[in-house]
Amino acid sequence: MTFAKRTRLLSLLALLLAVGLVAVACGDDAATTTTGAATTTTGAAVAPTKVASVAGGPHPFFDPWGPGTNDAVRDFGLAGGTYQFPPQWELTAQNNMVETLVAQGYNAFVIFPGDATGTNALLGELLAQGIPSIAGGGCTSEPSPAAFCLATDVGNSAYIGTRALIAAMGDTCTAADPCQIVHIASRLVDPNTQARIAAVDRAVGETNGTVRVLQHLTDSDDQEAATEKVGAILASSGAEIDGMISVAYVGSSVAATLLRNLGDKRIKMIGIDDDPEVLRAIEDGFLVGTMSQNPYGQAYLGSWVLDKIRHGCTVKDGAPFLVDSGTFLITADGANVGDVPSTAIAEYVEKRVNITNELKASFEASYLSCP
Amino acid sequence: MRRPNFITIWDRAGLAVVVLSSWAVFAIFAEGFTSKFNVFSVGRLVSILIVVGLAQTVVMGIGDINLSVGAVGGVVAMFFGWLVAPTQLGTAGLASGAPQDVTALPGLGINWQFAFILALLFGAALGFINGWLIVRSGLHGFIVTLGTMGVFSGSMYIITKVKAFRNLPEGFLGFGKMKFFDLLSPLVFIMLGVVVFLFFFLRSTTPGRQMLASGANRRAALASGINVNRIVISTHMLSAALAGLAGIMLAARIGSAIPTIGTGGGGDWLLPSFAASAIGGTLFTGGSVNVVGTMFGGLLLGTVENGLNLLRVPGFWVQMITGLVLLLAVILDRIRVVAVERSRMGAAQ
Amino acid sequence: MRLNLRSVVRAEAFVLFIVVLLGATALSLVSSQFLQTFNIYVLLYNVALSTLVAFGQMVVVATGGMNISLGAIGGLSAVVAAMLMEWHGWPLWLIIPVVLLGGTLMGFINGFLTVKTGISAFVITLAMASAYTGASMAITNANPIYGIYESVRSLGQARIGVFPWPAVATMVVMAGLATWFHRMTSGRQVLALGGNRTAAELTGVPIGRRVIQAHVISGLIASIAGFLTMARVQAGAPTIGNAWLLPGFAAIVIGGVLLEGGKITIVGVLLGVAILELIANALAISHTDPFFVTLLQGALVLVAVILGQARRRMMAKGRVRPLGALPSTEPRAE
Repeated sequence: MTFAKRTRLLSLLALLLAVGLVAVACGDDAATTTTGAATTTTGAAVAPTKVASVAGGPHPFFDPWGPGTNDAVRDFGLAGGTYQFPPQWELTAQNNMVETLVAQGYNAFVIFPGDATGTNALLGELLAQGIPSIAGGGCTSEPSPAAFCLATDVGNSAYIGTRALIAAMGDTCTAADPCQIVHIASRLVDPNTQARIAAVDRAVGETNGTVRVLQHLTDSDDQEAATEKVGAILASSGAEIDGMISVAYVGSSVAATLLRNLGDKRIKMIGIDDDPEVLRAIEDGFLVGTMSQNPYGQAYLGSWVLDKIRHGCTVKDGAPFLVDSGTFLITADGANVGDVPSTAIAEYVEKRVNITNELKASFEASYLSCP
Repeated sequence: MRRPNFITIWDRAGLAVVVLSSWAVFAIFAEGFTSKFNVFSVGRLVSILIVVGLAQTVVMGIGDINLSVGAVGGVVAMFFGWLVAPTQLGTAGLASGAPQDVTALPGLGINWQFAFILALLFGAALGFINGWLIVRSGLHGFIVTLGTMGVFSGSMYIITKVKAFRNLPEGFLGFGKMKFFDLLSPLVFIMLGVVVFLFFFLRSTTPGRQMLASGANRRAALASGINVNRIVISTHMLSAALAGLAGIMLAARIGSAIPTIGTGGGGDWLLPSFAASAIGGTLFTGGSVNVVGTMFGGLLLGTVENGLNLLRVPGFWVQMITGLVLLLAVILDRIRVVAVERSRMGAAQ
Repeated sequence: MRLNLRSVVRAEAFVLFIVVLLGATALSLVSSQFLQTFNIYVLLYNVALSTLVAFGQMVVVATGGMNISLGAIGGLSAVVAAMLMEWHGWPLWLIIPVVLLGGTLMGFINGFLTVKTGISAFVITLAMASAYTGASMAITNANPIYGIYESVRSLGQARIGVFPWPAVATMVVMAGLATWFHRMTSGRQVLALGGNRTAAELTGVPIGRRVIQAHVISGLIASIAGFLTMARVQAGAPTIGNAWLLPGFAAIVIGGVLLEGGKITIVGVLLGVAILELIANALAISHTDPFFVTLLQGALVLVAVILGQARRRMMAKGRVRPLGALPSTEPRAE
């Protein structure tokens, strides 16, 4: 190829790319809805609240954060709201995204902590600029610059779920022939995972040896990894396993699918979250139940609380850091599993709305002191 | 030599021109791009990225690859955290009745400047393991560091049980928050220092030149009496020390030493380190290193995503467009190279 | 007979074969579960999919390049296939060719840009990887698409005893690659240009076209792997392919493929994958504490390659190995 030809070709490619990019950028400018609010003003009056909900990475659990944030903007008259997630599960990528949003004028943040400890530094810097934040979906470690942690108490949820699983396995477990369970968990390096492992161990410890943990399966929160890991343990130890407890969203969905494929209703399982596959498996009897969380409420209530704080409310003395956004067991018919109360699939959405509304009604009185 | 002036300038400054023009575009169209806060936060982020890139650049100079940059960064940051964290876990600032933080570990509480030196030496020691294994086994660095990556991170996970070192000394933390002229982080100056050091080291010192010579042609280097094995080991030590430095810089930036530094849990330093080097013009084949190029490569990577986010490009598309912009940048740079080649050919005829 | 045996022992893949054999024997002695039908089935399934990924990488590595976007192509293929099923209801006979064509096209873009711009394949495929992944994320909004057809679901589970049906695809790809690299001119030319580009150019190898071909085949294999992974996990998830890069490289390097290009070994790669999957299976069977998994995986990869290297050195001592002799057909000795 001659140089002239190559230069021409390269220039053409460059031009095409550039035109394409400009077209995309312009198109998106029009498509993005930004409520025309004045960005940060330095006046005495409080600038209108623009809230951003930032997930830790791409993950279906956070999907309801979008409508949660948007509904809060609509219901509480905020100046703007957005739901964003960084392209990878990486603290630096998340920090970068949050800082970009600050530069765009967002002044209140609901953040899933990319790292329980590491995110605190970012939240501290936000607070120094007068930007309040709430840890959503998971807690930052205390003491934290975040006003609240609006999340499932992960330890408690795993504990209740394991209790339900133990009850579901019932009398077949004896000290002489203990039942063995597998715990499917998310990322090993996530501090929440450590809290959950401890909680599962605690519930199992209370059985006085009639149940034991065969394995904690970590890093099982994406389809491929979960299929391989859960598949491998079912393949290599299926006969030894009596129950499974999953505290990972995708892990639950994958395990539900695998049990369905195996046609195995002997192994009892409790999942987490309301992925469609999980709910279908409960209806068909492959899962005992699933632990509900309330991501919509986290973003919705979080946005509202942040607006309150920006308008002068402060955290009440002695208010707890963690406010449980709603943890309960969902089963097919809503009957108790042992002594763990549950809600039927048909009613759980309504129950979650009720929890959100109740929390909102009592939040100001219980946790805030407002002028 | 009809049109040499323009071309010569372009050749020298090619990537810089691409970076600066992208900044100009963002400055005009992206609201907040030039705000002091944005410049500060991007500068801090990019500095770490560039040091990671340089850790890769030096091994690429000898025609090798270091997959363990992220693992070494994380392990060194944790080692540093262990050295400087207080011996007792504090309870100050905890809400009443809150349980003691179960995710924190106690450390040794030694002076942080001293610990900084120790941690870099520790990083170099990890690099020695990489280099020694490569030299003794005769295997490619790719596969050796793929193995040591797991060994380093895995050992750290086992020892720390993936808990974090918090409450690092105030002096060190101040370093992460400090602002010069309300605009620049000290991390930027550390990065510039590393760039200047490497630039002169590789260009003007004997060990630096020997490094590049071994990368360009190992046999010729051996024949001319260079101890190639020693060069390979010391290059890996340099690379690991730089990766460790980046890890400590990140610890300063996030205020604690956490086990996910460098490996992120999903994303990690690996691809950005290669990208910064490759965009900057360092070749995988070795022998040619462009330290300043890596700096501009890192700047480009770090600012494009920031600029696109500020342009309010919807989140999902940012990643896609970042890739295309990257492509545009390297193609523009390539046009430069071809144009320069052509002008040289023309001049020669 | 004697000669034959010696050439088998000297074949590079032999030591890998011994490692696989020893590993499997040890596992079956340690655990009664290992040899059970379902476990072997899962193991073979993992090997089949991972082998496809490794082959996809090997084809581009043969040219001296690499394909960072392999997983991104697989992920986008899976997402597009699931999208066509759930949202558009296309018939399967149309979806499969469209998806494979899509993979081919993405491979072509990679190859075309690499050749025409003269920029290294690493940089091009890195940039395209984020473009393809971005598209997957944009299509799915990070949510898996579940509405895949029942026929695809059952394909993902189809097996005869220990043999997973999707492994047929792997065998077809394997046969295709063996034919291409060892029997066809274009494949041989790819190896030639990977070994020495200048020499290949002088002998009239159309470098550009061959490099593009390698990328196209890589893209095609990636989309097959993506489609099969989707069938297996029963969801079109944008995370499919996320973790293909390093295991793929590890398998081909253990197998004996030169990263510099010019030398491939199909049987070696298959055995390299088998070693990695045996390690993973052993970790599952032994219920290893999760904290030790990362360390053990790294350490075992190191041990495997260092042993292989030690053997290679021993063989090299005293006798010069024929260069470029590829174990193209797996020799069998009785």
